[in-house]
Amino acid sequence: MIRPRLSKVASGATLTTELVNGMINRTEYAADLLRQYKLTAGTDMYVEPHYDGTRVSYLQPVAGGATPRTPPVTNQITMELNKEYFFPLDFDFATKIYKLSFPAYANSSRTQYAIVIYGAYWAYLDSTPDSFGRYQVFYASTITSTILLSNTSKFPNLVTLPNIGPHPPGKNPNTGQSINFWTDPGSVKLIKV
Amino acid sequence: MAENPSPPKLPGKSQPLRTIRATPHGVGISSDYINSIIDRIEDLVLVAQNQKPVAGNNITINFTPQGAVINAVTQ
Repeated sequence: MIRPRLSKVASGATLTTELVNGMINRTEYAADLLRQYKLTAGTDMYVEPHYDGTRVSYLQPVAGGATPRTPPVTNQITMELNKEYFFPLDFDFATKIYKLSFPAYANSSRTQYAIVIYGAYWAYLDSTPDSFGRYQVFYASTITSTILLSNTSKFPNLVTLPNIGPHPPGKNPNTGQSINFWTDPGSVKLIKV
Repeated sequence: MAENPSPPKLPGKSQPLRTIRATPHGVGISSDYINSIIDRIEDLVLVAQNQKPVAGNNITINFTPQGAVINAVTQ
């Protein structure tokens, strides 16, 4: 509860209970604010008290201090921008349906992204939709698949890739299978659904 | 040996309060002393009101009676 500001007293004034209670209430008001504002670290954060202030940081080092790194979770691979990642194909592709999850901040400047599955076939989503607003997915094999995306002006934050697997039906995969996933810019997740 | 810098000065003009000593016949408290207490309290209120955390990029702050919980936005 907000308490009124205290007024100065004049010389010779009586020290009344009203004045004392006003001082107490005003002090408790400030104490209540400070209690509310005491920082407690939540997920992926920690609070470090310093002599001249409180520092809040991510648990993992972050370049620039602005973008948290998301730890990998089951059925989800998180990648950072402009880096190549190689994953063994023990990442279960059985469902053959995956989603690409992009952060919203990367949506405006992203130009293209690609999935490369070595030893099998690769898929590439073109940066330009066709006249129907569809983005083409090209595979290194003879298979070409079309994915209909809801957002025709930008890459959407979530794309469903059907039939992504270590090798297309009837094709023999090569050795050393892995998945290479890259994008620019922004981190991206490959999520099994 | 390196030392930490002095903490930022408390906003306002108040000074740390002096404690008073009891006497057998009681203590007379001047209006100046009461006003110094009031000044100190008002400065503390000013500090408290300006300590509200503000979220930066990819940070959320959830204010609870137990404190302000800060979280990293991971999506």
